Amino acid sequence: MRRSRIFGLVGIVWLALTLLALAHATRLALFVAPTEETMLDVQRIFYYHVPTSMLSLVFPYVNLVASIFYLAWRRSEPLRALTADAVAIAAAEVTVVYASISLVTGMLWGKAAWGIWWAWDARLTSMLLLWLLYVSYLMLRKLSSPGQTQTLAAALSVFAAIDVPIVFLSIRMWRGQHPAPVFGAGPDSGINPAMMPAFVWNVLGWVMWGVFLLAFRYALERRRQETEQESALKAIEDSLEIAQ
Amino acid sequence: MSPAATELRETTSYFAHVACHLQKDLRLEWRSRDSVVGMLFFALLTVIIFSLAFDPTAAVSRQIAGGILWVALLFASFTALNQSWTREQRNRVLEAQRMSPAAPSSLFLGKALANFLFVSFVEMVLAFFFIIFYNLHALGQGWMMLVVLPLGTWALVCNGTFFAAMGLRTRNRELLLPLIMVPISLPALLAMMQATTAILTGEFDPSHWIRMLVGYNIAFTVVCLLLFETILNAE
Amino acid sequence: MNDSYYFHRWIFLNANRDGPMQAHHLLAAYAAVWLIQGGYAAWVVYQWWCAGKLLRPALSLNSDSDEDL
Repeated sequence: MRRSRIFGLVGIVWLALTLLALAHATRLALFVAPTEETMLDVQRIFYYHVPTSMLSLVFPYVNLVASIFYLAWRRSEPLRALTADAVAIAAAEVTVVYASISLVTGMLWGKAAWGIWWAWDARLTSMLLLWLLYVSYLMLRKLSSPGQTQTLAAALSVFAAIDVPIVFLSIRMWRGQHPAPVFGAGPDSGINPAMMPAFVWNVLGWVMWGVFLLAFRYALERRRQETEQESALKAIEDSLEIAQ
Repeated sequence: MSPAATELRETTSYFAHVACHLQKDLRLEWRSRDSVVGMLFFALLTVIIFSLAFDPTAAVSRQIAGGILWVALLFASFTALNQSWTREQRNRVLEAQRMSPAAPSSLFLGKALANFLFVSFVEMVLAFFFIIFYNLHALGQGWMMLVVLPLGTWALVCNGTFFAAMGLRTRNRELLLPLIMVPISLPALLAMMQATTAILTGEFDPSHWIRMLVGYNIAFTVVCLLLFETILNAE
Repeated sequence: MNDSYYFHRWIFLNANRDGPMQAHHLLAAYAAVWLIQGGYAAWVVYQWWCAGKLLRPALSLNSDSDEDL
């Protein structure tokens, strides 16, 4: 099919550009950006950590929008609804990947800077709860009965998306009472302008990579949907043959 | 009939339906009483386990009692919530509900209210046992517990009833409910536990947490009511 | 100044190796990121390939095309 060939080509070009961008960004982060005074080189984790954390708050809303389109279209335009559902699950999985990375890099940073793997501070705890929400979405997808999966997951997606800001607010309220080790100024408070190029390139690179992952996972889900539909069609055809 | 009169009639009939469903659940539970008794015993056992785990003195018990109360209620409510829907599946009652012209959300609301009453009953009994086991008396404003308890219970029960309905035709229904309910409920759980601790210890002000609980309840009650029909007819 | 100091100097041009900070956590963090991202991408690639196999079965699934049996 010509359309899928075009998409394949665009995909490969995009991947190449993404890897170039990420390579450049990593080089900037590791070798070009100035060393910070208090935290020294470990601070360079932030060039990966902060863009990833920012993106892990964006993909849940991609999931939400896709789920809403699924719910809107599922009776009126079922085939388009399937595409929306594919975007939804792709976005949820990418959210979990980015949230996992945010947690791991955050923990390693904390270990290096304060010798502790975990502090129940506002940022890490909120990220953990975000991770839990979208893992529970994936669990629902896995455990629910096949005919209902998409609708139930879309409903849960609405709940989860509404919960995300509530989680961040409530955890910040909680930690306001019991101050945890302060993580100090991240690059978003009084950032040294010499650090900006590395930061910006990393944001760009990880956005491009996220889009790539989303598109690829979407394509995989569409392929699986196609397989399902073909086998369903085949089962119907076979039953018709026997009836003759 | 004028439009206003029709609307009024529809609204009253909606609440009549809710009342009908509520009555049905209360009556069914009264006949068997297994849900409430099971919850009560389970919650009591949880409290005892925590007491063995932490061996609280009077001062420490005020710090932890809030958390333990809500944890015990949360775990106890899982079985009750699942059971409240399985009784709809007997005799294919659920199919009948789906075919009836009554708004599906009235079924949800009636059932949520019934579960709310059951869990509140268990809560009252549990609170009584807490006061005894931990020699508790509130150092803050004790009357505020009468605000926190219903708000917290509704937060658990509203989402719980909805998610239990989601798991109706699932293979691992008992496994699914806690997995999807707890992450969504974590902010509410935090709020109710913090508010209770604030009231018991008198060390900080519970009003932010109470306000958060109110906001949470409003947001999620609306979402549950709007989405219930969708998940009831999820095929 | 031990050998690992010079190794670190070689890798991190701007690095100031004094102090209790260990850049091992930096390396571990970057490695973890690529492991997770690469691992997920690899999983998607593998699933994509498996799904592709199902779409074009090697053996025909119905018996119409079988010749003389």
